[in-house]
Amino acid sequence: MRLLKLALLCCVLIVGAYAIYHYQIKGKNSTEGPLASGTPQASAMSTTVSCQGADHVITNGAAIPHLPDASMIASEDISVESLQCSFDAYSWDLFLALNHDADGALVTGGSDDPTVWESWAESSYIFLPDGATPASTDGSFPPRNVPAECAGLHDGAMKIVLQIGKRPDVLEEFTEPFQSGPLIDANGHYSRFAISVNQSMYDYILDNELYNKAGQKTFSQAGNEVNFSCSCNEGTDADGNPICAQGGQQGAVMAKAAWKVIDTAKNDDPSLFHTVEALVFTEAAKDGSRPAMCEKQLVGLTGFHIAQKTSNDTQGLWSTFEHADNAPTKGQGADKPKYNYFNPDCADCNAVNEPPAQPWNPDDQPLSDARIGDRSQIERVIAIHQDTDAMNAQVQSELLAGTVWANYELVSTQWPTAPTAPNAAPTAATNWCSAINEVDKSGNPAPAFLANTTLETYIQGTVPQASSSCINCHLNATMTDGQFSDFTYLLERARGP
Amino acid sequence: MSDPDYDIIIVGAGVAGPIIAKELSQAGAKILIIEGGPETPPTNREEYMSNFLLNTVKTLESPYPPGMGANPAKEATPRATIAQTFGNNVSPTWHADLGAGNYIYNADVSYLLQEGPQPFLSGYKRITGGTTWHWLGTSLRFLEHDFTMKSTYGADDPDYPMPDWPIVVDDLLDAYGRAEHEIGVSADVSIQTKELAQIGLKYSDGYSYPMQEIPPSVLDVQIAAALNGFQNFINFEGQQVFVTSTPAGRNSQPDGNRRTCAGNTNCIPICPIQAKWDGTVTLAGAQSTGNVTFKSQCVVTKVVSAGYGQPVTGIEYIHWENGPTKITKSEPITATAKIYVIAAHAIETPKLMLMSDMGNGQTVANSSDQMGRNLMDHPLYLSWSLMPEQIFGFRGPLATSGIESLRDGPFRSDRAAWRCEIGNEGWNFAIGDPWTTVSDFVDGKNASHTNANMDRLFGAGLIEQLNSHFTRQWRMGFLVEQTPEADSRVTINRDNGIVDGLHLPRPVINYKLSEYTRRGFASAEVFSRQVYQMLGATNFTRNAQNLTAADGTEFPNPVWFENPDRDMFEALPDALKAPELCANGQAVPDGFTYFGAGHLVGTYRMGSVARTSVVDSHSRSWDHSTLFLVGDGVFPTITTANPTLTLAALAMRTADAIKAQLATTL
Amino acid sequence: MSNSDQKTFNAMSALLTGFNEQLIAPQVDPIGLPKLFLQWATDHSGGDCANLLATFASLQAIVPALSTDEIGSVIMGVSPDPTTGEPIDENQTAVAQAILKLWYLGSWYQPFDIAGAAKGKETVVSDQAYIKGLASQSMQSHAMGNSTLTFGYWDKPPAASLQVTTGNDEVSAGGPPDTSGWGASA
Ligand SMILES: Cc1cc2nc3c(=O)[nH]c(=O)nc-3n(C[C@H](O)[C@H](O)[C@H](O)COP(=O)(O)OP(=O)(O)OC[C@H]3O[C@@H](n4cnc5c(N)ncnc54)[C@H](O)[C@@H]3O)c2cc1C
Ligand code: SF4
Repeated sequence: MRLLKLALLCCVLIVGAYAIYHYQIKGKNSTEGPLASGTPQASAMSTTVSCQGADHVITNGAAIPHLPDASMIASEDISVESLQCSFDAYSWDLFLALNHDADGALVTGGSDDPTVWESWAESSYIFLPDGATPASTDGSFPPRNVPAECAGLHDGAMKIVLQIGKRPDVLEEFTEPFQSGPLIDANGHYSRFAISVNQSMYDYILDNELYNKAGQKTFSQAGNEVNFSCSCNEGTDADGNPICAQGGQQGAVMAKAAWKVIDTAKNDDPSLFHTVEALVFTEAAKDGSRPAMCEKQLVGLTGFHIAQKTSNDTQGLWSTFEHADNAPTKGQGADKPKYNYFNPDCADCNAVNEPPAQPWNPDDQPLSDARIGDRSQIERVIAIHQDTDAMNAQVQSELLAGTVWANYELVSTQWPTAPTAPNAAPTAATNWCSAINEVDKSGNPAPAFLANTTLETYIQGTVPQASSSCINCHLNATMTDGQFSDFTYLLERARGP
Repeated sequence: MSDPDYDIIIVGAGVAGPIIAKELSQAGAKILIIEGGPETPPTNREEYMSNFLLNTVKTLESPYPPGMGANPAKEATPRATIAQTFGNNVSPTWHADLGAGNYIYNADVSYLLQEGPQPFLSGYKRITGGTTWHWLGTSLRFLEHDFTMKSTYGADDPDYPMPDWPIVVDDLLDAYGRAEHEIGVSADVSIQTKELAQIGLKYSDGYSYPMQEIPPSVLDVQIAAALNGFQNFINFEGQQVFVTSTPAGRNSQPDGNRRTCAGNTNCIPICPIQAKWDGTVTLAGAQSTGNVTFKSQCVVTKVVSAGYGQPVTGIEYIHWENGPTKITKSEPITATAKIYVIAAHAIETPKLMLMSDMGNGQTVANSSDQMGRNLMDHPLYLSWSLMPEQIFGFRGPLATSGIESLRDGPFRSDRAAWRCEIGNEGWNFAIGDPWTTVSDFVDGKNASHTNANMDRLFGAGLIEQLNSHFTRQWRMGFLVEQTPEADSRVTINRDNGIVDGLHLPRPVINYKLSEYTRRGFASAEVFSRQVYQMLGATNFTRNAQNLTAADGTEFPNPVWFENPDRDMFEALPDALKAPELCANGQAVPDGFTYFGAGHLVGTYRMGSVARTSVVDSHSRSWDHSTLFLVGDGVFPTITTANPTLTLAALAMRTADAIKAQLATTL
Repeated sequence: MSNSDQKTFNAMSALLTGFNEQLIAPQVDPIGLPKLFLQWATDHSGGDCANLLATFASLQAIVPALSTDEIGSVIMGVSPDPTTGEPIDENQTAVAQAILKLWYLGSWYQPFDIAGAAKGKETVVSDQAYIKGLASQSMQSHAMGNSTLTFGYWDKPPAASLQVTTGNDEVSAGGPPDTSGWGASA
């Protein structure tokens, strides 16, 4: 019976592969890498979280995990709930690795340095206005494409010039902000969004000329389908065939961030956020009614998605984090004095989880105090699972105490439960990805719905297709020619000929 | 007189209203849009989608408020429920009871009061975004002769039913292009013109659609392979037939911050991912200018004017809300503007106008007595069959191709033309599949007429039988061009005591299909037989003459009518009389049933003289120069194409006229 | 509901639907339809769902083993129970048919009158029950309103064979339907 084989294969992939190969890389992490930097450690290096009866080690390491590890789960205990623990532990490993200082220093007490992912290629300089080749000759990222309005503000000493809120012709995600509504914080500032990709993903876009429309068309017409590389750990399958590149490989990773303006006049406390000085750019109105604008502002991270393709999870693993003070959870009371996107006591606030009224005009901000009803009033609709909550608390106190990162929490990790087709073994030709499940390309994700209150603010429900589900939604992502873009909306930003 | 509140007031936020609002707000005009139904922020898609998923009957209205089966007397904006929803709720004595204050459908269920003699079968939506929430997206242009029917095909016939339009196709070419770009139509000009130039499909020089065409389905390709180029269709001597990709207001690539169509096969009743354009998209564009004030849940009840030749001086509306037990409503509120645009669609617009009494026994904009007359739809003939090969329906958009090449021809002098839509949804529309066939093979029944042995199956046998049927089912839908009739009309009756939840009178509908129209059905049946013969398909169409009451008695089906042309069938070659090619297995059919297409057209027609029409070619009332009545109610004829693209193009034209009028008079 | 009832229900569901049990009741299941369906059927059939499961378990226990076809025929009321020579109780068959339709359509068709629900009453038991309905798998497609594929997929035949889609190697797709019933009740 073929299906039985399929089911077994899935199990082998999920359980076996994670068990064997992920374990190795963990071993590697603990002996080499940034520990040598000698930075004094305020926090422990790792912590063991007990979840659904199995122990998961979460490591404050610098190596980006390639695969989740489910080896600690006994086969008879395999279930959505127990596997979720593995995926969540993996998400924290990933978060810790990506939020290291770009030069490799670990998250340490009091520190708030620029991070690994902030050094990645941001969409606005991959997809240039005329579709030009991003200027990279040596494999390094091209210089940022600073709009003229921002150029004067650019301070050479600024550690990072983050050019966010630049609205391309096509937003990478339709749900947020401007089509379904902007996210306006409790102080009346518009939140901003930015996407960046790692070297692997960037190289794929560059190598295949997917950074402009013509290149995408040529690519499709030659019969290709976008397939970014998958992360995997070196090893062989039962028949001795390699299942990954030599030495393992870091596949495509995407990070999407939501930022809010830190308004100290309104009592925002910068020490509670990962912050950067940024150049906040607002494009000119299409009808010419207002010019482009650029402002230098201190912004704080409020939402953070990471998506990584792995050799088992062709649809990607979707980890989503938030600042702990973003919004109360529906039905659980609003017990904090202050939230980023919720006003605990106001009679005239906008209806909960409804977009602010039109017109949406980001250069008319911050909104005056009188316009209290024009801000977002947000609640989390689906509560964070208690296992995840417990894991968050432990990581925050044991690994992150004293750093800004202790204010961030994992909402959940979405993963495909039936990711692949029969006989789907990864090969070099498939960039070490398993072939996708052709019956249901979404791979029937768990949890079925997942929303970040800053990134899928207005569709947090549980209605198939209409509510936020990372994988189901990104399955609809295409290039500018309508062809499948492998779970990223980035490629639809391509311009030019 | 004090300054008016706004430059322009627009009533209705469907297609026409938002287009005009966007065009003129971008030019700086201050606009008030008044919409009778609730607002539909993007979040509402979740709620509507949930309603759709959980409703047992997934009709076009299933996702939307008010709830299915709500009594229209208790709703502020009741919907014009489509007749199919009533099922067997028709009274067995409807026929005998008609007239004398009785209607075909029970007034507790049916908002429209149908006086017959035949029922009008199409509905519309009264929420922000209007009927486009459940439109399919088909965006065809009208043909050259569509605008000149009388002069082309009836110049010598005083009884010829089709009038000319006051404009010709060339007047609209630019506006069509603008409308296609606003809606975001996916199509390819070269494919359209190569095959369809013969029927007068026209574009401006060098024109291209905003998006590439939607790929054809496996089914489309198979039918095209069998039919393309064939020119011996009976009744269409010498006309070549082609299957062509249907231009659609549906994203074939990411556009306007909306996703690419993922083939959810659900454009009607709801696109879960808004890949399909709807009126809220353009409305949001208008609102983003900051020049638009939008009021929802405000039903306009009166357009105020002192008399013909006088300007409109205001409109009155009622604001309503759903209270815990009943509707609360405001006193009438007056708003004023320099220009008034009524975009409430072809039933609510004439209803509103007929309610707009000028105190002198006359109603606004009706000096010609044409208001509400000439109500039209595309009565739809549905023909369904099984293919000998697997063609894998139930996949992709509901329809991706059609047969347009017979939409024009000399035959239009004496019988109706049609376009044929090829459905990618198996027998969903036809018999309610997959529910019906699954139930048949599990329960050992034969409602589908495909389980004659009354098999009761399970396991692999069930899978195989279902796979075999579902992957072969398909259907054609013929949109028949009906004639305008003075007594097919919308009226109001303030004396029958039947009102909606705001105590407003309800539309009373008289409707009938003419002989000319019915003959289009006969030619559609003949055509489908030839198609099935060429494909080797088996016809399963059933035109039910009678319905069966709960007690087993049979009574006339209101949507059935007698075959208008038995001779056409008698004369067919024997091969085309084989029962497996014929609807009901009848070589000479007794009659046909029709469905509605959702195309409500013609109730305030445009014309070149005031005496016989309501508005001029810019949709301006002949009687009041500051009043514009827009939408497909202005169409003098319905033609064979779905109406929205053309009404959108006409709205562009109206916007230009209003811009010019504001510039010169103010 | 006991674990063993659930196991019996899953096995019976697989046999009746023809789909592989791993597909309709996977060990790693983010949706949980089998549990919902058993609960629903139990709540809407008096004791007849439990009786049906008992019947099914006893048919499975017969030695020498009956084929799946033989068991299914008895459950569906098509052939007699080999132990009694009589068809099984018709309410049990009606519940089996209702469960089968539930799997295919996501709707529960009330099989006979019970308190609170008249025979024939139709309910969509959940949104997921509808979108995961096996009818759409039997047509190698997806439920209307829930595409699981991507733009343009409709211009090619399904990528997954019927065997893969159903997880059942014994089904053979592609045979033409029997149209002999044409006109039977014109
Ligand atoms: C099932 C179906 C499928 C269709 N498919 C197609 C297709 O494929 N192609 C095509 O071309 N057309 C199609 N149509 C037709 C298309 O939907 C209509 O032509 C189009 O929506 C008409 O636009 P409109 O602006 O005139 O009216 P509507 O879209 O109906 O909008 C009118 C608006 O006015 C509001 N309103 C009404 N009365 C009042 C009042 N008194 N006060 C305030 N507001 C009021 C209503 O609430 C509504 O929002 C379809 C229709 C149906 C039903
Ligand atoms: S086919 Fe589906 S995705 Fe495409 S427009 Fe229709 S409903 Fe939307």
